[in-house]
Amino acid sequence: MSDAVKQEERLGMEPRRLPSASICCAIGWLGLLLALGLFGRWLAPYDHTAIDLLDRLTPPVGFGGSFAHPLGTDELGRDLLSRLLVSIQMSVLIACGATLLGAILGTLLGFLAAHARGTVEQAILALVDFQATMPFLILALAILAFIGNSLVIFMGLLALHGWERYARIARGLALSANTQGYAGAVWQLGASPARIYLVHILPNVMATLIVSMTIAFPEIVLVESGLSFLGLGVQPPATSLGSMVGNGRDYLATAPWILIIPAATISLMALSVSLVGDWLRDRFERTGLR
Amino acid sequence: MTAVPLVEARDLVKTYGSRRQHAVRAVNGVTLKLMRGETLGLAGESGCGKSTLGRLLLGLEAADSGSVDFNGSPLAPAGTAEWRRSRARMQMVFQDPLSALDRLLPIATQVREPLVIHKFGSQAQMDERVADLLNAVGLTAAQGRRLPGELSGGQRQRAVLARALATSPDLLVCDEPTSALDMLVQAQVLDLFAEIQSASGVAILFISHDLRALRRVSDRVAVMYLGSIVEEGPARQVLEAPRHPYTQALISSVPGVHGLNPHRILLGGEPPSPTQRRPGCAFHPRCASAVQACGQTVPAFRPASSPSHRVACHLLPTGGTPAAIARTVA
Repeated sequence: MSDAVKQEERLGMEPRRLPSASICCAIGWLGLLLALGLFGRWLAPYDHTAIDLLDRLTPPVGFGGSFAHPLGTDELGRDLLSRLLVSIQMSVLIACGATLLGAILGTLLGFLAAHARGTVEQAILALVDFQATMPFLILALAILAFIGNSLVIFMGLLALHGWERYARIARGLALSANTQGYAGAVWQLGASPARIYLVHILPNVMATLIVSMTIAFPEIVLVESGLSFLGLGVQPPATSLGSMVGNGRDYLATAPWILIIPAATISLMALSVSLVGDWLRDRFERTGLR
Repeated sequence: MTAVPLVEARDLVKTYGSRRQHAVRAVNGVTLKLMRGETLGLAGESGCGKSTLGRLLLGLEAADSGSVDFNGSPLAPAGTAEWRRSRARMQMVFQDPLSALDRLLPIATQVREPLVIHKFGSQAQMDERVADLLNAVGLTAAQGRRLPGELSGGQRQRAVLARALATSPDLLVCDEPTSALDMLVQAQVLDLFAEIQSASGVAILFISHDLRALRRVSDRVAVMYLGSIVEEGPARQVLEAPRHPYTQALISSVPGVHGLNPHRILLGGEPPSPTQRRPGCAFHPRCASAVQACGQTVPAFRPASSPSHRVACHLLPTGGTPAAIARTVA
């Protein structure tokens, strides 16, 4: 037996392999975006709303522009670098906030359904089905048209995008843990429901929830961009990546950089989160935590 | 005996499924007593209701009718605060220790959990208790710091046992605790059960389809068939001189060192379906010696060779031979 134990220890001490280059790039890019989201506003060379009509549509450095405006200017002569930094902050804030809110809401409702069973469970499942069958854009248009728009409402609305997935996952995993697994065992030890769900089930389903958050995050970024592009999202003078893309549409032929720079930022952000999510899922599966 | 039994179950019935023709009557009128410090082995084939009976006795599920008294008073309904408090007195050991343990928490933390839940005492007292428990089930402190996935099956079952014993319960229900383990480890774990019982005086309901395991640990043995107990008595008498035809068949099927018993009793017919019950004795469609009465009335539980050895069978001689009984009934 001691040999087997030693063997296990040797296996356990095997050094962790570094993730592949693409994953490192994705993590680096996300880290950069996060840092820019946190501190970008103070790095911006100009005020993002400052208009300079004499300097309209300046191209970026390398395409005939100057270092006065490294990423060029838009149709009102606003510095694109400054606008990009502020937009990243807004988009990251909205996407992170909405993803977290959605995950918390969905997980709570899923646990509630698994715990209460009966009518409560049926009601929550009906809500889940309603959410899953309702085209999100229509729901968003209706809510924004009736309630109006503010940052908090917008974030709350985006949180509704995808909450039903967390609810389903949380309910399913909690049910199986309750009937035949560790949660049932802890239940018969005399543990309170709060203890069962928070100390045991939540950590066990966390890996799965984190992976679905990385799937939901790029979707929320894209929905936010889409709504802002349509003029229903973030309202001026505030700006987000999506509203920058919406602005740049009219100048696509003459000044493509206005659109390309924020659009590339969105794509790379969505791609990076997906890559990291995939990698996390593989890692969790290898370690047997699902 | 005048002492109050630790657990007393009367006429327990449990039916699953709501629709009438698909309703499964898993437990059908079981009456059972378990005294303090006694080990009762519960035998029977898969699906005969052994595990359900165990869950009913622990109050994990509510019976449709009948009652369970623990220490002379009825159990509180599952999920209530009073029920949760009563868990400190009765515990369960599961068939699959890996799924019964939280795979993210170290063993020692999980052994400690019942102490935390039932407010055992100070941190230092709990630390000491956990160390004692791990020691009592044969685990080292280093193994206590590991995760369940890093231990072997036998070690995990020891951990589950340590957790179940943490609050010094009066009753331990072990649901097939050794069936997921290989033979050698089974023997070790069974010895551990016997050791723990003699040290702590806990009463054990040992559920198993493995008659050799039952023989090793049990004081008394009850044999279940299709939701009812058909024979019950001291382990030696039931396992060495079985009186019920079903027990006889069950025991003759146990392979010895020289392979299968050439004189074993092969049961004909289909394994029973608890959804379609037939009148009379539950076993009569497969019983080689069934007589007409067996298909008409349910046999009563009657003392056989000694008052403590009881059997539910029409063929049990009450003074005449089976043939004589058959004649009188006809």
